[in-house]
Amino acid sequence: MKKNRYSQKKSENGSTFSDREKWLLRLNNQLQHHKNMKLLCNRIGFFPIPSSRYEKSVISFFHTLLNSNKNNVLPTKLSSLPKKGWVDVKIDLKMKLSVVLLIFGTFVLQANSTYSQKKISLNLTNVTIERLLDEIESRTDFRFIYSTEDIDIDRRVAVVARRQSVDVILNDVFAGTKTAFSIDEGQIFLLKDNNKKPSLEKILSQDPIRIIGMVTNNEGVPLSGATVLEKGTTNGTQTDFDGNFSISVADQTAFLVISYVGFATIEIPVGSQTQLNIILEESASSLDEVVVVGYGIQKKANLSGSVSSISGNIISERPAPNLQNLLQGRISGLDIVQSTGEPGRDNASFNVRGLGSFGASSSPLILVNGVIASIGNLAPEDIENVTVLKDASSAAIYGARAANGVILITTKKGKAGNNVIEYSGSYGLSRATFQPDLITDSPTYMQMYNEANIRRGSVPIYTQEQIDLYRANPNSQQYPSFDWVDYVLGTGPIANHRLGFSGGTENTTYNVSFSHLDQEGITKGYDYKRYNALMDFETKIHKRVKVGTNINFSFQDAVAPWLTNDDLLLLAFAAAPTFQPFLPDGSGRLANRDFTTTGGNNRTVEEVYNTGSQTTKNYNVNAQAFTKVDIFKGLTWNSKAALTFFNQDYKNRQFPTMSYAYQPNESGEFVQIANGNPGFTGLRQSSSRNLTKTFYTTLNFTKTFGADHNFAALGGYEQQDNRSANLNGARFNFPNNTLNELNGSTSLNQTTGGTATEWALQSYFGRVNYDYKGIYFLEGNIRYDGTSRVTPENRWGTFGGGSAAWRISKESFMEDVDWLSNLKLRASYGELGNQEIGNYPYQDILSVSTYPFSSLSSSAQLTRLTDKNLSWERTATTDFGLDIELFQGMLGATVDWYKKSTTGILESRRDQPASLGLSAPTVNAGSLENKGIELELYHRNSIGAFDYGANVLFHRFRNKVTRVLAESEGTVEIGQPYNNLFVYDWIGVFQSQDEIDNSPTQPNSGVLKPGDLKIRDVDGNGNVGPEDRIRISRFPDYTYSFGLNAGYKGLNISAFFQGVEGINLQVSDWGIDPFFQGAAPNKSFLNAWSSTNPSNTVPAVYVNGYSGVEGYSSTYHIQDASYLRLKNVNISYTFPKRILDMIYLKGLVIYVSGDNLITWTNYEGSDPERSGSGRFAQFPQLRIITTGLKLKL
Amino acid sequence: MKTIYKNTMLLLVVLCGTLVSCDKEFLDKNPTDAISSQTFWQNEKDVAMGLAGVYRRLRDGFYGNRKLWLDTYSDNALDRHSFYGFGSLTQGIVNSTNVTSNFYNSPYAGIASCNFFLENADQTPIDESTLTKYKAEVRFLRSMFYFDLVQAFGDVVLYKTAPTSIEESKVKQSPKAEVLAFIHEDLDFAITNLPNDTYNGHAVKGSAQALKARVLLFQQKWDEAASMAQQVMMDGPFEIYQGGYQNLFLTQTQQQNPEIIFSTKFLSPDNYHVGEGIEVELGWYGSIQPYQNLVDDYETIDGKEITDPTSMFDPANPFLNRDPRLRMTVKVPIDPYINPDGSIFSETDPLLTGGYSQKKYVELARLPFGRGKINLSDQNIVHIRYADVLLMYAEAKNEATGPDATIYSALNEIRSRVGVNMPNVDEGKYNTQETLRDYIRHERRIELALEGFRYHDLKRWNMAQEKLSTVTNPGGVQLSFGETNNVLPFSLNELDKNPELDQKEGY
Repeated sequence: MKKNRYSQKKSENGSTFSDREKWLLRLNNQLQHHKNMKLLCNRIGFFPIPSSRYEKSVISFFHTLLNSNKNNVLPTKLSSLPKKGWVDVKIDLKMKLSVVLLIFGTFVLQANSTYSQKKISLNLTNVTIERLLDEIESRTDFRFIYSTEDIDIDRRVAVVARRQSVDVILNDVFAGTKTAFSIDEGQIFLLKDNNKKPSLEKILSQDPIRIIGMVTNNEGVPLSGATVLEKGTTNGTQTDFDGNFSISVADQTAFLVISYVGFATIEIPVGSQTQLNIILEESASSLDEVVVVGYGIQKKANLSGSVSSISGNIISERPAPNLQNLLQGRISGLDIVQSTGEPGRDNASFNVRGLGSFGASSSPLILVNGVIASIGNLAPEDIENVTVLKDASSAAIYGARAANGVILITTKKGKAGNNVIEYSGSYGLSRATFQPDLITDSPTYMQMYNEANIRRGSVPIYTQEQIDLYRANPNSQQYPSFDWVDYVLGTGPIANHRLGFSGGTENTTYNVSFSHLDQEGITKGYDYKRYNALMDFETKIHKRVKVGTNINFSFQDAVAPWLTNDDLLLLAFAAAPTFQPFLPDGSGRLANRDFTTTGGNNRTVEEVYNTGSQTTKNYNVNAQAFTKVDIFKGLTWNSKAALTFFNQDYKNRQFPTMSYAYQPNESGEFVQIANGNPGFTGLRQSSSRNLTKTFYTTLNFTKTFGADHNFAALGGYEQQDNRSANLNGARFNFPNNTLNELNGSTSLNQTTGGTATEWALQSYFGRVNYDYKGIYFLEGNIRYDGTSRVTPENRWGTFGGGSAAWRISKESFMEDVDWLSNLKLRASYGELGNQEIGNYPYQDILSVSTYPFSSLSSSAQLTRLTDKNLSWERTATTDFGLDIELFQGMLGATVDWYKKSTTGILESRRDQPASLGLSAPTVNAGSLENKGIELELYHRNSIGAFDYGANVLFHRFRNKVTRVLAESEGTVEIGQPYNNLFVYDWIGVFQSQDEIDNSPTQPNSGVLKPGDLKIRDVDGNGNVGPEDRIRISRFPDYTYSFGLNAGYKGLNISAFFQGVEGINLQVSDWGIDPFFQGAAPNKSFLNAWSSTNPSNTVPAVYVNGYSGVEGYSSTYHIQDASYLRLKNVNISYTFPKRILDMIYLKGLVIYVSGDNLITWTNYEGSDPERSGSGRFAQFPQLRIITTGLKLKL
Repeated sequence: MKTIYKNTMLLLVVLCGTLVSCDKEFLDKNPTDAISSQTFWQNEKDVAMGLAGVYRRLRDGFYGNRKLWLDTYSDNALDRHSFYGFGSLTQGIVNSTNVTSNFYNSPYAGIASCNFFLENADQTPIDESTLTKYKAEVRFLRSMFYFDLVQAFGDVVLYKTAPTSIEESKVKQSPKAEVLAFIHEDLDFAITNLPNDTYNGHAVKGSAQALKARVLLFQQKWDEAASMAQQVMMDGPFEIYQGGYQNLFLTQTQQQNPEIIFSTKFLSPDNYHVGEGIEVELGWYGSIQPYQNLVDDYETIDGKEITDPTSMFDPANPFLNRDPRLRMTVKVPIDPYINPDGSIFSETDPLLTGGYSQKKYVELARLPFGRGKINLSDQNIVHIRYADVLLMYAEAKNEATGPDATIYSALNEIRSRVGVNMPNVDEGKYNTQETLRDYIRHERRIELALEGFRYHDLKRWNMAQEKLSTVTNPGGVQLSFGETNNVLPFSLNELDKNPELDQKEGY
């Protein structure tokens, strides 16, 4: 009964639709079928003020169409749409298509004035309304017209109908809902039940009206604090905690302007509506991006400091085992060097804006969800975004910890109304990026080794007989020419899986994910597994109270050889090509060297693999609980308590294994000459625990005074304390090699140790923001920090900074400059602290020992004078910046210039008289300065279905020591970059004794021979002495990166390049110095100088330590390690919805990705991307080819 | 709903209240594996530890086993491996860059420890008398450190309290007299407040009295020196040890030894010698090589000089019938070391088979020597012993009043030690102040040979040049002692760091 009456009433109501309304609804319906327009229409039903160029074009089309068909019925304000900006824009392909479709669709609609009514049968269980309507459309000629805004099309229903008319079916389906329908000439209008549905004519009446509404994002999550403003007036309000608002406007011609940080601002004609459900779209323009800042978020357009951020989607677009590596080249001013591709040991070093200190840590502060945590523990796909606070003003809210910049990492949260199950998986193969080209032909190697030794005046290593054997049996099992490096470097598989559940309701959101990484090394012996679990949960327990938790757990299980990185790789270099890892008799016994007579006591890599391993198990928990209370409008109170726990269990187990000379003795027996050379025999184990407790609470106040004065203030308190302890022990002489616990051996000679350290920090902080009309911005940050690391008298310090910005593009005089969507000037200054100065630097630490009076007594004595005033290092940064965006985000740039001065760098004094009787104190003495420029450029555009983008980052800085207690000539000098290389300038190779005699006297003249290095006499006084050494900076000229991406209908391709220019490294030893511990020379030595080959670039082949080449440090060992690298290429295909619907998926992306594919460099023989100067041999970087998929259910 | 909000707010406020640490000590974090002065000085145990910390400074420099090398800056022996560059110094080549820092750094490190103790111990709530005794010990040690500085350098920087900064430490040297006055202040305090006990590692009254006697002797205040030494002889619990001269220098017999008045104590396995220890450095490396000159100075057993034709000296068997202390001090060529299994400790070093090396302090029970024995080497290094007091008394008394019976008796007490049994002093022969002075000095050289006293004695007597010039080193160079070398120069490094300091005259 009830159903029928309801239906009847709706049918009657249906007739109240005017033709005009029906026409509009039809148009709307047409638009529903277009992906982009659907969103547009969803927003309010009709006529939003377009925000993108594309939308503007469509609306303009509408506008024209409507005006030509029906004069004077549009709201007058709509005709005042800005015409500039879209009229001139060429209508692109995509646009044209939709226009054609629209016209076509309209004609079809208009033409289809008859319909056949028939009865249908349906048997559907658990389908959405949307599916049901599709079903009816497919069986009948009816077309449904509705706004998804009004109708809950996701509602699931069951329909069992046997030959029933459509209206009966719909009656059943919509019974008890707020949906009414009206059937009219083959079209069924679905509407929100509204008895007083006004006609469009009434909309035009002039009665003042009160409007209530709700603002949500496109997933239905209410947006609290959104600003609702009647356009052109000061009449405005903000949405409450549930996103609701109410406002009285003058008349139906009024427009509401709804804005919210991070979302595109829209304007809505009020028209006849009294209840508005407003859906804001997350902003596409970078200006509307929301950036995480200290203890809050900020709209990017409103930033006045220097803050860069990157979204997690971009980071995890490319599969890589390690988040740190993914950040490289993504943020200007953040220089990241990853020195090794070892699984689980590939932590990178971070520097924000140059080198901030040489006395204490110069690493930035890294916070995960606001709390200290390790970046290495995170799964890249769990990251929502990463922000870097670069200038002192933005970072000032972190006070005494922020001198070297702050990196804020936020993990993903669930989104209401959007329950998603995501799976992503990838499988990749990694190989070394570079492999050196060594002389591995044994006879050549042996001959050269002998020559090099003779040149030095030593005896040859190999006898002629031995060489002849290798020469007579080339590449035989017994006389091999073995490439050890090639043997050692192989392929390492990397597998990654992630399963995520996220979503929520209006009140509760969640994000639960689990991921697993399994990576093997490109050499044997490495096996790294990482397990990550993330749980994020947030619920509203009262309309003004939210509580939530965020728990991040990771477990890393890393097995590695007991020698790693360069220690391992150098063994591959050091092994002579004249033997193989295992004896030629096939017995599987290990070989240690070729002949018993060959010297040295190196291990081979294979010996390392067979003499033990090390295991590291890391357990990390970052568990947080938080509350958000809306105390009254504009005032929120947030609190968070967190525990960050780190536990490491480490074991290093080694044992001997017999190894032999590869060549048998006279009687044909293999002679055992080594035991595999383990570092020790036994088990070393350690366990460390580190717990940081954090609690902070903030009050956040925002208010708009008048219409133009926006004011926000934040005040907070934070405390943290940390305890870090470790315990270690070792036992030796295990009865067998499989026992792997300390109890497996006796306590004889066992050792133990343990220690703990603690620190605490207590802080008060605040921030004030003010802007006038969104044109002039002022921000001030302050933090008052008390640290346990400074003496109680000086413990508290104030740090702060201020910034100002002028958004010129918003000035009234710029209103007509439509192509300029943003132009902003920024300036900031601030002073910050670096409290990474050790845990107890100001305390008199007494050395504990014993003294034997008549019996042994404990003793404690002071051995070091401490500076009681020792305090944090301070960094002051001045920053000037410019942001510009053109053509609605098509082109944009950010430029920053900074000057960063660090003072009070910890240095040990050296001027203490011996009469003081104590060693020198560490004091705040040194100063450094970094000046630099950062540049970010981006461009994005679409041409039809083809869109593309490009971006460029550039960073250049100059480092300078400005104060130091004691200069050391050439390396640490005032006015020079810190820690220069200070070496002789190598200019060639001496070709003859004559040349030696007629050249300036060389540093080791008298022993020089033709074929030795020739050094430049810089001062030209005819004598090359220490004063002729030259200074070479260790810092690069600049770093840069650029990315290109293009997409066409689901097919996307992106390429990412990263480079470093003008960096010099001093590298030596294995792999670059011939015969260093027997290491085979690089093939370039085939062109070495000899009396018949007058090379001027390669000296005569030498043995390490040979004074003619290595008698002194020269530029001979310095290489230009500049490089440009194709870091990543990613080709992906996103399946279209129609295919996804067929396979019941919400999303599916498949991709192929390649890392470190091409490198352009002059650096020879190995990877230029390395941790700086030092041994040439390093564990290589990885070239990884990965395939994977991401699917959404 | 309203209640939920109210309750939540209330709970949150309470929770925040409990989480926020109003505790003032929240930021007080101290080392957990080391003692910080922030948390030290709480009880008597801490003060005792602090005291032991001051004593521990005695291991370093010329207070530990390296003290014996001081004799190589004299006519007694050669610094064979040039540990301290004394080879150059004994040739008169002394400058601001070649003097070992041990003369300077170790005493000042000790003084820093003393001052740290004296300035902090007061804050500990402990029994006043215990604290006074501890302070007396520390002031005794401080006076010893300063006295060594004065002996080596004359005027030196005087810190009566610890400088609290590097700037404060850069002061001008104080006149010798002022430093000596400060030394006496410390010593008088120590004498008043130390127990008149036997010595067992802690300084006692006798230690301070004997040291005061030595200081007075250095100042040539003969009367006072004699009377101070006499006080030790009369009132103190010390006596000549009759368990064997050589056993004065071996760990076992050094314990509770009635002759030792003050020493640096070692005790393996926790406190063995710095470096490689006496057995290795002296017994195995032969690092200290006694000169023939010293060997020749030992009398024959009838108490005559070997140059005396009536003596029992036999040039063919030069080590027969000699003062027994010779072969307890010096290893002579006919003196092989016998391993516990009866075999001869095999030596490849020609010196150890054919020349002289130091035997005093070497623990032969640890044969065969080798680096494996390093951590066993723990002989206490004697700074003051009763025989020294007797010698000081004899010297001072003779200078003050000329020969008398108490002087002969003091010397005879030393000479008649069981196992030495040398005849009494020939009172007829040494019957004037001058002849007795020479004899006392001779006896002092013999009794205290290779213990590290000779260098300062020679300077005190102003005889360094006279004595050194009678010796040639194995390189054939005649030793010499520069006129200005009675005080050592400040090192160039120290002058650079402390611009207030004036270099000594003559350097």
